[in-house]
Amino acid sequence: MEEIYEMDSTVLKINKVTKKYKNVSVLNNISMTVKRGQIYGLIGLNGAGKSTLIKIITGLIQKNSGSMELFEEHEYGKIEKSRRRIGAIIESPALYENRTVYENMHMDRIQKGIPGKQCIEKWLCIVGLMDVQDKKVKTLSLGSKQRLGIAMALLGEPEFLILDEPINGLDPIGIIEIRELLKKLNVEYGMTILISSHILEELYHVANYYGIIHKGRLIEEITVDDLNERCKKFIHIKVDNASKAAVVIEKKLKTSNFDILPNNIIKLYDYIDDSGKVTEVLVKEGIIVEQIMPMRENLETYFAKVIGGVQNA
Amino acid sequence: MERILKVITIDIKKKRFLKNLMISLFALTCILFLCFGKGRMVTIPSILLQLISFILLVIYSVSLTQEFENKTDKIIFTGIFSRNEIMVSKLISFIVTSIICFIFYEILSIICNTFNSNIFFNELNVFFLYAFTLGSFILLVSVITPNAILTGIIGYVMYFDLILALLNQALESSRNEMLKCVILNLPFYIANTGFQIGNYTVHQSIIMVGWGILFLASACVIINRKDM
Repeated sequence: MEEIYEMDSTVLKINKVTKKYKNVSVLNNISMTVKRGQIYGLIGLNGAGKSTLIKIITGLIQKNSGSMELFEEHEYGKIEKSRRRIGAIIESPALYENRTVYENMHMDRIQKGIPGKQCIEKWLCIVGLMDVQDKKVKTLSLGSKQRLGIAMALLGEPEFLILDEPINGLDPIGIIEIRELLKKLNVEYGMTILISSHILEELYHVANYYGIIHKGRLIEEITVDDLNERCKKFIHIKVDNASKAAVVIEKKLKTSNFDILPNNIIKLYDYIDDSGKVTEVLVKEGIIVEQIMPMRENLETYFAKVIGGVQNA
Repeated sequence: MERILKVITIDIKKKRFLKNLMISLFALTCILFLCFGKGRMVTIPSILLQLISFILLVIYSVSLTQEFENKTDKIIFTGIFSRNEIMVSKLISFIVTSIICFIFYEILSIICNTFNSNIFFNELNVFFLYAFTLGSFILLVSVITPNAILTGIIGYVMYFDLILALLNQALESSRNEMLKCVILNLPFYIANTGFQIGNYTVHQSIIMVGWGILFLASACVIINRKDM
């Protein structure tokens, strides 16, 4: 009989996990929670500790301190068993380059003890690799290798899919395909997904919950709604003379809450709902307004602010 | 029961394991026949036996280290099987490899008229124990230094000509009975000397099993603590 899970049950709960290599702290008191049905985006720069955290979750490395619950199990033996419900790609897909796509799937199936060969074709079909199943992996493009890695992670239909930088090196079409695939797996198969990346913009399009990790610390956990709320709105103005426009904005609109960017672009953080007035004032003062539109700062900008500015990052 | 079977067959089932081994042995046998011809056919099984020990060393050295080198360790150690089960499955695949080599050796002995049914089970025992002890040792080395070449070299140095020459010299020159006793109870001395003559005494068999278990247990402890 199929198990029925509560939608808000916890798939992963990490509490004050620390990992040190020699005396260097790679993870420092990390606490995070992934709930069933979430697509959790783990954001961090290279070396932030994302892969280390994922390796601890998948059992490839041991933590020095802290605790972990997986599918609400916290005893060591039970966590080991719970890991069978996980599918993962860590760093890059681990593939046998001299074997065919099908053989790689076959070997992974044996490794996972999954009966029946039908599942291989099913997942190859879903990730769109059926046509190249007899090709050797070394002849595949990076995008196809990533898709094969995902297909291998999907063998056994895991409840929790962990993908470490799955869109690394993909072309724009490949990125869109992977993004759509992940959404499909989340919606149609109910998979909870933990996806890490340093391509922040990409996580913004796929995740619905974010964890920002920096220098081994989880700085913030935030929902997509909160993120949208916090990402500052502004008016993007392109004029013929930015310095003259800045003076006008300060004098006539009585605000200095703006940034001047190269190419005569101004980001105005006030008058968000009254861009008409801004246009009117600028035009009145003889400034040519080439472009004016309300915009929102993206995840990347927000991330840079959270971790203390791009310079610190 | 199903799980035990899965663990046993996990390594054997994959990577065209059996097919490749059979082809290699067959090709090697053909080369030996071509080289020695009909005149010296009786010497072929003993030469094959010497070569088998090296073939086994190479196969064992590559088995686990290639997973580390190809980074496919992430696949095998994140599957449904525990690290201990993976180690056991590797060791079982080593023993199966050895048994296949044994079958080949016996077939060749029949063809070359050197087959002796009286020592058949003795030789089977030798192949089994050799695979168990050498395999366990190679697994231990593999988890410490995940490099196939280095593992092979360490395996060669510890079990083959070099150490045997050294230990034989020590046995001949030393008057210290304690030292002689230690040497005679070392798997590094027993393994290949017994393998080449096709016989281990009961005492030697017990020593081989004991050391094999010790190596395997150490390998399991290390792999369980190892960060991948």
